[in-house]
Amino acid sequence: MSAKEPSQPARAAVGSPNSIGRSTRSGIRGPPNYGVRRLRNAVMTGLAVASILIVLIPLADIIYLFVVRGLEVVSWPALTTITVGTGVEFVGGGISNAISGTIVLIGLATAITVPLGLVGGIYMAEFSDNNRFSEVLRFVADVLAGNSSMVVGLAGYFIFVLYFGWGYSALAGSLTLSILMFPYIFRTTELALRKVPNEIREGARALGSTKSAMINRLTLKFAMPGILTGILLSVSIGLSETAPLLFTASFSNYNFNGAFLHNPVGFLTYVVFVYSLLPSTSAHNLAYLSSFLLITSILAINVVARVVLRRFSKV
Amino acid sequence: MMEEELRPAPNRGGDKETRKGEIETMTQNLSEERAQDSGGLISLAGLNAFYGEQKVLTDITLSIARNKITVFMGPSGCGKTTLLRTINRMNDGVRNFRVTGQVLLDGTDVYSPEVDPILLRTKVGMVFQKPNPFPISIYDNVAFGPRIHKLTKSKSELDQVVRASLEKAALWDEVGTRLSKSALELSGGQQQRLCIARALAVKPEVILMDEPASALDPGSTTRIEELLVELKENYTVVLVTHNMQQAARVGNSVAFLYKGDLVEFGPADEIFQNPKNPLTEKYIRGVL
Repeated sequence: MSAKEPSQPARAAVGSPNSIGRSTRSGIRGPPNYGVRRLRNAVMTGLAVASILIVLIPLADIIYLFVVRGLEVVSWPALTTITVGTGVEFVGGGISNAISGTIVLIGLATAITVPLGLVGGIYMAEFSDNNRFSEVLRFVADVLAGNSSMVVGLAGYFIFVLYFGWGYSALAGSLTLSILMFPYIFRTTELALRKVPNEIREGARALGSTKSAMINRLTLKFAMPGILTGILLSVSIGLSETAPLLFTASFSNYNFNGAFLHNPVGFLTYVVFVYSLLPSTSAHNLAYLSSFLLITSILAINVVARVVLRRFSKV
Repeated sequence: MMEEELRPAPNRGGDKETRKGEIETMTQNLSEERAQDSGGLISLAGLNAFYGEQKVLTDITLSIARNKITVFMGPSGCGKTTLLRTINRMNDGVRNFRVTGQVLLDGTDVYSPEVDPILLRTKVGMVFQKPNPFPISIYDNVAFGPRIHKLTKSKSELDQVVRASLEKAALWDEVGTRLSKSALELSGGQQQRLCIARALAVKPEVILMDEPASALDPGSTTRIEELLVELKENYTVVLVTHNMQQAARVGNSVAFLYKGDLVEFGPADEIFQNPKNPLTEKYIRGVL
């Protein structure tokens, strides 16, 4: 019980040790209300577990529903043929137009956002020294991240579709998506770099390393798992967006034709959003199939992100 | 040179009497060595340092001899680390930090505008209090400096530099067969010697050591101290420590700093056996 003795032998020898504030009860048996404390602990643990279950049930339900329904309707033709008909009449066929459009939109948005987010995040963590400008940047990024995607979509419509005159197009859609994806890459890059211990920077500096050599060879390397996770999460954010694309990509029944301007493109969330409200089983099936693809790909991305983070973060 | 006598005896850590005698013989040896002093490589003249409005170093003037170990000694917060970091301008990036006065390296003021801090740091290496190996392989740690400064032309030349640096840091025998292993697998003392090897690989003239053994166990400390004494054959060493025994064991000259002032600077034996300033004497007696 006398934990103080080794560190302060001189003091321990004088006076009566361990007499301050201790109960007269000796030994290691708990105080009289110990049973109550244990009971309270058990109740609280039970409540915590119960609340986790309450959250998990709807999630499991969603996944179950869409996986079961998705597996019922998934077929090679449904994945490889284009949609036939529009919302006003009969809708059927497959969703290859939405799949190819989603891949193009997300791919282009990622290609635009990753370099910008990386450069921004690297600036924030390695160069900004928390100056005024960086505070403004961080504020803007936070506002962007917290913004309604509907509003961002409307802004994209005004700027890209109307003002630049690109019409409903892959480029307008991708740029609008990248506005929504940017804050995630930007902030996770900064945070991942800030997690790299400063001793490493000092060590590199003391060897006469320039900042760029240090970033390229050391800090970026160790922040990479975190940065990759941020990129993957922003891709899954992009995948699940609907509103901004309604404003900027519209929808098309045809596969992506290679034109980035003036041609509307299809995307999966549109199929879910619009076709689930149509009064026909064939439309519902397409919506289920799209939901299934979205859920599984987002799930896969999150699993990959976790594996990357766990496997490669050693710092 | 009489390095052999200067090395601490292997069975150190006995009773206090032998320890004291040992320090006396060592300091005697040092004073003989000092007779052949080869002049100052670094001289500080009227150096003041500030963090914002707060003055942390006041009018420091001293000369650091080539191929010697100069010790900055003093209690925590006395400014010894700041003083060390002015020599290779490591505090350049620190906000509101500013220096007045001169730090001359071989006659050139390191704070003059034409001096490139990057090049300065290749001449003046540094080892930190806490071992800070990069979380990469042992080989890559040592090769980091030569690679960024493109000091070697071929892989075999780089291999040689890595090996020579590890040998100089007395680490080759322990890690020579596992260079591709992560540096983080090494013990604390090995990591610190790796950091020394890493600094040596860029072929500096001066090595600044900021309490390099304070985070290590006694055995590792001994090895580092032995290494310091070996290193001064080829390098000028500046050592910061709050450990007087260490200062006495390895130091040729000792500067005692207190609250930002240079209280006393002189040959190690004079400082320890015959301190002129009552503050120094108090510190040595352990009552400051």
